[in-house]
Amino acid sequence: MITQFTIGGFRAIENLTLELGTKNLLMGLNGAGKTSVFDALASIRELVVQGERIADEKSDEPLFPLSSVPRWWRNGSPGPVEQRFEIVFEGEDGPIRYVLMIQQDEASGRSRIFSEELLHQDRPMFSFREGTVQLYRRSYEKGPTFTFDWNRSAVGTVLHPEIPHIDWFKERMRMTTCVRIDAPRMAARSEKEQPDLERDLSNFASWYRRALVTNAAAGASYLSDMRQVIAGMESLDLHDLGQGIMVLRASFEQPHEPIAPGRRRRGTFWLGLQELSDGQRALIGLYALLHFVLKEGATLCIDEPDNFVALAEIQPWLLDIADRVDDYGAQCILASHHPEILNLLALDHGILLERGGSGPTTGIRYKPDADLPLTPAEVMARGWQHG
Amino acid sequence: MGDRIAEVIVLAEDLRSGRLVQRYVERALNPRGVRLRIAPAGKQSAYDWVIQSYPVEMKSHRNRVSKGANLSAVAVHVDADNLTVQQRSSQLAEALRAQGEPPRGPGERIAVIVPRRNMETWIHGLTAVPVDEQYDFKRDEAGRIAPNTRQRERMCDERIGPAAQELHRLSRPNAPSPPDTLPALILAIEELRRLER
Repeated sequence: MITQFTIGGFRAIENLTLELGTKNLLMGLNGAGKTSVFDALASIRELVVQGERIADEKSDEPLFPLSSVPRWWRNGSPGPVEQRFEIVFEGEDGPIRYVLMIQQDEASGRSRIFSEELLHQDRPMFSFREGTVQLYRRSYEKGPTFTFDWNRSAVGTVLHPEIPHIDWFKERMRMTTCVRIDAPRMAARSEKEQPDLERDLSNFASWYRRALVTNAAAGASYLSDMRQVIAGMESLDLHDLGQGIMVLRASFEQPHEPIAPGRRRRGTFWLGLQELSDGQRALIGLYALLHFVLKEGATLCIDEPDNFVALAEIQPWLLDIADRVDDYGAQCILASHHPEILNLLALDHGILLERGGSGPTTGIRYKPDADLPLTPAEVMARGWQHG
Repeated sequence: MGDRIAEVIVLAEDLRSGRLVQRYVERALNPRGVRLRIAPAGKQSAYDWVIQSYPVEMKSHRNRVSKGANLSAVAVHVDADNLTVQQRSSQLAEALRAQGEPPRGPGERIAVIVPRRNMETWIHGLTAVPVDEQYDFKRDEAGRIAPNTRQRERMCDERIGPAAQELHRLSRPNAPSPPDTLPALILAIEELRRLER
């Protein structure tokens, strides 16, 4: 579980430390920084787990572009500025702390990793600073050094089996998933299995194809849930078109046709994922996250999970996710404006993100007036969250 | 038990309490849907909110039943705190009377669940932690607010599933209650059996 996430200098976030529990709800007005928190975490994951470069010229969406530095830092700085990120995981024998500093130079247009450190109980296990990797031994004494690419995560790339905590950290980062479901972009077609979900779930079919192979038991319980959640749906199937191409489709019970007095024919028809409604696609994505992603040690971040989903569908999914978080020792971080989510989670798990005017984001535990008999959603709607 | 219960409305003072009832109901009744309604704010107003909402839920439930939704049920939670179960139940009954709503009938699928001291006492008691009805999980042995409250809350949340499982086991027809079962819990088990009638 991530117990603390600190962001220093990312979009509107100048210096924000979030203290996190197993269940978390990020709340706040538009522009308060909720999506930026998830984007920062997702970018760090892509850097460490997927080995992406921080500012790949060929990429349409570099992980940490110059534009991700707070505008007022860039305007007022004569030289390079540094973005700082810190993630603390609750380890089995003490906290594991990852600290990443990225140097951004507007004059040269260059971005690079200034330093990257991994600490166990505040003692260094791995350090990468100004292009040099410093390895440590199990006793925390310094080991060999070597040079490394300033644009890539050394922690994520270098193998160092002597210290198992490093692999543990990488595995926890791999199990961190940040998404914002864009149902219309969830494509039915899959050309190959993909282990990592795109943040908008556009590669859902390819990810699901892989997930079914690695966790067939979750696939069975997922389908059982989906039959109850989507009326008339009987199964979800990857249909083989040949040459490795598959199409994700759902089968539905056919309205019964009378074939003789008192007798009706039972039938099935198939719809490709793209033929389902946006709401149905969103539900397929939300429940898949619940069944395949939320397991022991996993962190699931969902930005606005209520998008596209009918009112009656939100609470059952929320209660399911709370049950799984408690039962499996997982963690979820949601961001939402939806009254249904605010009213259920804000009191116990709400974190209020705010910006004073155009200034930096701050984050505090949501704590309403105990004698105010209004729902959290109503308090937020009235702008009374400050008391 | 006859037909499958269609829907259960759970009215609770807080999320943790509501989730224990919800998980019990899902396990024991396997309803098509559970709707959880929790109080909007702090402790005192949470209690007031349940008392005020109870007649509204009763009226809605009876309206649904009168239109043929016989397989719906309501479970109401309010902590006893420093009162007795009987005193809290009387307050709920008085709230009905004040709103001109008839008292709860013996055949109605409406359960009133009053943990003492509160639901956390039961969550611990049902998961093999020795507790009595004065047990307050937020305070240490000297009665002070424990410094690691968040950690305690998390451990409590992780016990909700096993506690619901044990509550289901205890509430089965003719299941004997162990001799050290909390008195308020014995009353609640009888209440929960009302939902299955």
